[in-house]
Amino acid sequence: MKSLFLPALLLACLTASTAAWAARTITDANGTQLSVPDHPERILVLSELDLDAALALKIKPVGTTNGRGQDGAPRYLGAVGSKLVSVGNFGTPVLDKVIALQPDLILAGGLPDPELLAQLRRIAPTAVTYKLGDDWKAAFARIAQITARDAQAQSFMATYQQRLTQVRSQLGKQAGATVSVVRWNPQGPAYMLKDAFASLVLADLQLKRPAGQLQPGIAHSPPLSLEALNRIDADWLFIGTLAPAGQASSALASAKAMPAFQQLAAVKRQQMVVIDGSLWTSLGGPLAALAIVDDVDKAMVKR
Amino acid sequence: MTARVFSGAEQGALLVVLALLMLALLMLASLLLGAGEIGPADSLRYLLGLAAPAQLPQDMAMVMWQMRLPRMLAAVLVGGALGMAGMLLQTVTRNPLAEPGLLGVNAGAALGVVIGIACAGADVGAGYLLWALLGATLGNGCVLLATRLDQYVDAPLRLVLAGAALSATFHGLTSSILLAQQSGYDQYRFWIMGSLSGISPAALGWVAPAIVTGAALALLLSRALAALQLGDDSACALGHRPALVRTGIACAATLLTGSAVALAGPIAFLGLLAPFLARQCKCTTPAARLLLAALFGMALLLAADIAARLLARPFETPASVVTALLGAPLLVWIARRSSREGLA
Amino acid sequence: MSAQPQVLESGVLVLRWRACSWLLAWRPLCVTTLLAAGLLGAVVLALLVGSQWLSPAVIWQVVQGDASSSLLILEFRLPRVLVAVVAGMALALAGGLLQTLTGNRLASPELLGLTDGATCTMLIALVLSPEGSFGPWWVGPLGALLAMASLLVVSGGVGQRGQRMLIVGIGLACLLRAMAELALSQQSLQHASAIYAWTTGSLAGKGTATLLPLAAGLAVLLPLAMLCRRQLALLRLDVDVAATLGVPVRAVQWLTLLTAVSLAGLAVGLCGPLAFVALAAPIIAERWAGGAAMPLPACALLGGMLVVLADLLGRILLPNAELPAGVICNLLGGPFLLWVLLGKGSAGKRE
Repeated sequence: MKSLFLPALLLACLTASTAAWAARTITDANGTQLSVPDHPERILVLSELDLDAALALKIKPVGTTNGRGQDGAPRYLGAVGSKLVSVGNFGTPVLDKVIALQPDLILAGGLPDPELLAQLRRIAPTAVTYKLGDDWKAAFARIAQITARDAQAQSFMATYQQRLTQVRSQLGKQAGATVSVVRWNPQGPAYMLKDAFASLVLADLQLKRPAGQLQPGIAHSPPLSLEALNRIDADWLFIGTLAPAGQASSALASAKAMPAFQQLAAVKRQQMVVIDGSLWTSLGGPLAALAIVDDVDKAMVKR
Repeated sequence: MTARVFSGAEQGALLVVLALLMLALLMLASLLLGAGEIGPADSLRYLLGLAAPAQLPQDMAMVMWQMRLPRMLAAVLVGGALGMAGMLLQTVTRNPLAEPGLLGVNAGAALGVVIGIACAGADVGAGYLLWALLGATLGNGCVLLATRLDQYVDAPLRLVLAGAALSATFHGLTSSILLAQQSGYDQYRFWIMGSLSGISPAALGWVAPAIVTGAALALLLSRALAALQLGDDSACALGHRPALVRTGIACAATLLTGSAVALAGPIAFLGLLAPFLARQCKCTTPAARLLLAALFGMALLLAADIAARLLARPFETPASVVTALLGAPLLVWIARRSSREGLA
Repeated sequence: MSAQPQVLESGVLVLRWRACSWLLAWRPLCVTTLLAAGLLGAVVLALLVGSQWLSPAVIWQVVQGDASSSLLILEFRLPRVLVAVVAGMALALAGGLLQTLTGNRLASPELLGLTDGATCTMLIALVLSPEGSFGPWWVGPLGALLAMASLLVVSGGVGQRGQRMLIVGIGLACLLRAMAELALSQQSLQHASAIYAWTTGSLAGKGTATLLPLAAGLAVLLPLAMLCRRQLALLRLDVDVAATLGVPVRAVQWLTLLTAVSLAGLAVGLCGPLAFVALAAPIIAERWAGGAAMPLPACALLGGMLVVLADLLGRILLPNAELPAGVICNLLGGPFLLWVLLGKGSAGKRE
């Protein structure tokens, strides 16, 4: 059965992708010139940011990869993400499955393996949508351009700006407060560096980071010594654990039991907010940015 | 140079005294130095009772008794346990490349922790400890069971190979769980580096008895172990039972390594390095060799932990990284120096 | 040696042709043939199996030039399977040589820091590259090569039966691993996971760009390995005895080490650490083939087969993702080695 079915399917796949050829030429994040179909119908997304951006552009991808550091699609994307077909883990998609999905455009942001990229390009035009270190807005704009949905992207960014202005105005006297973003782990806490995704969204909200957390970098700091715990202090302390939030976190409970932790000003003032670590430490994306603004809104405005 | 003046036994005693002195200094340094704002001068005045509490930083007591003291004790326990376990294992297998991790303890502990993270949501020191201990015991149990220690003439090699084989299997299981359950990887990559930071006094209390028992068992069996070195037949003639001795040694090594891994995460290199250093001392008494290995283990880990706090203040450098940074050049230097005599 | 009349053990076949004669032992010969057949079977199976299963007829169609599945079989599966074969062979050979040289079963190329050197350069390339990609194929082997060069410089000699180099290698490996781990813990999760996936020894996405250098390397190093093997058989005796027999001991030791390290470096540099093949394949091959010398051909075939089967299983075990071949090697290689070690008839054997 399968053996008869597959060649036909492959043939269909090849003809489908060649039929939509050569409509537009775009340049991807690596500077590679690519011919992509004018109106791609079957888009396969191979990274979290691509998925986030595609959903923000109202595209329904034919398939996606399992999110990094997560077991399925990211939680903040809700039910939409979990219903999609998965073609494997990020960085190692299963080529058999990719062929079977017959994509006419593949969005492969941050794919580290050039050999794999070459193989994907044998299946369908594959665009590298961002390099590590690109901020999410640039990646989003590029994805919109590659998928020919610039208008939708602009309207989304307008919504985002609107939401920023709204939350900013409601912050009242909290505007300009310092915010510390920390991931707790039993060996010592680490804070997010200045160019990390969450830090960029906080900067959009014109919230300040404490002076100790302004080192450049897109990742998190090394684990801080418990003796230097006052480094994570600020007006507000947003803290997540490495374990997925939602389940009762004993790590956080043990942190709260620690005398040095109880002495933090933010903890004393009860301005400590427990956040979803997988969202706040992710590479981000338009929907993730909105979700972070929502978190800030919930924590700092609606109290 | 001075060593030539002394006879073998005296030289051994001198070395032990020197090592003890070094250990005491390192223990003191471990209490005085930290990554935070409290400096060694204040710490010393506090310890000696030279200053009124008001003159000292307000966190002094907390930092000293809640952070530095447990850390110092943990370094002593873990370092000693790993050093001694390494010496036991290298002696019983007659293989200088054998290290405690080969008993399946480290790999078992890692598997235990990953299962704990993935299935039970373990995310805190005490949770890791429990799962690591469970995994270490199970992993080691499998290895011992697989070798059925008493049946074969060449049991030592079998033990090591079976350990390597099963460790590989546990590593495979660990990776497949991590690849299937990606969220675990983020936690795992911090645990795997090992750290003495954030060890609670309660965890110390749980693990210390196991380490002390293991050490006592090892010292008790050290004579029999030395007899075993002469070959199984000679050992039998001297009234020892080789199979029983080996099982006892394996149990002791498991207790020591399992507890150490549970407490501080895998600190791989120490179990290889400390016995190697101890063997350079040409100490003849088996018990003294075990103790020397333990002393070297303690000193190395204390030094590594102190460096871990100071290298990137106010951040922590993982202890296993510093152990390797300190230990690797030492190992290379000694290997080059002593190569004329042939290693091991 | 052949000039003297000698009593041949049973199971040894003597081939004579004029002044030359060859001794062929039956058992290694049979085992080698069986393993070669097994390897071939594994390769064919690996071409057919995946998340899309094909029937053997499809291979026939592809051979005849039918294009419909040739993309999947010829461009994706075949290069990957061949990479598995060659990498497995190279690692098994390296392990066989090292184990024979040192007389230590634990002496495997992983101990020498090659893998860690390769991981380090991969990480450096990843962090430095403006595209955030792994860089060209030679980055990994370069790391292994650098690790090897520093090993040679630092150890300052082979030492007795290569022991010194092993010890120094272990130290170096620890140092490199520590640095890589430190760097990894400070990377964003994205970088860290990409490298982690690499360190599990995945063959996903491997194609001709990996295959060509790997195969070329093996073609050069295989004859060297076979050359070493003859001399090593004598070195298994005491070093002094071997020297009396006219073996250039130092030269053989150096050649063996360099060959083994280059083989392993190429394989782990290109494919990531396919742990355990180098440890297990020589032991199993020796158990099966018997005989006094390390049966290198059987060992290589077995290594290739192990990696092909591991990769194959990795592709079908999980419904939604692939398990890297390195993981499967560990997972199944362990019990397999145990089974061979503890199996019947092995109890009395010499290690």
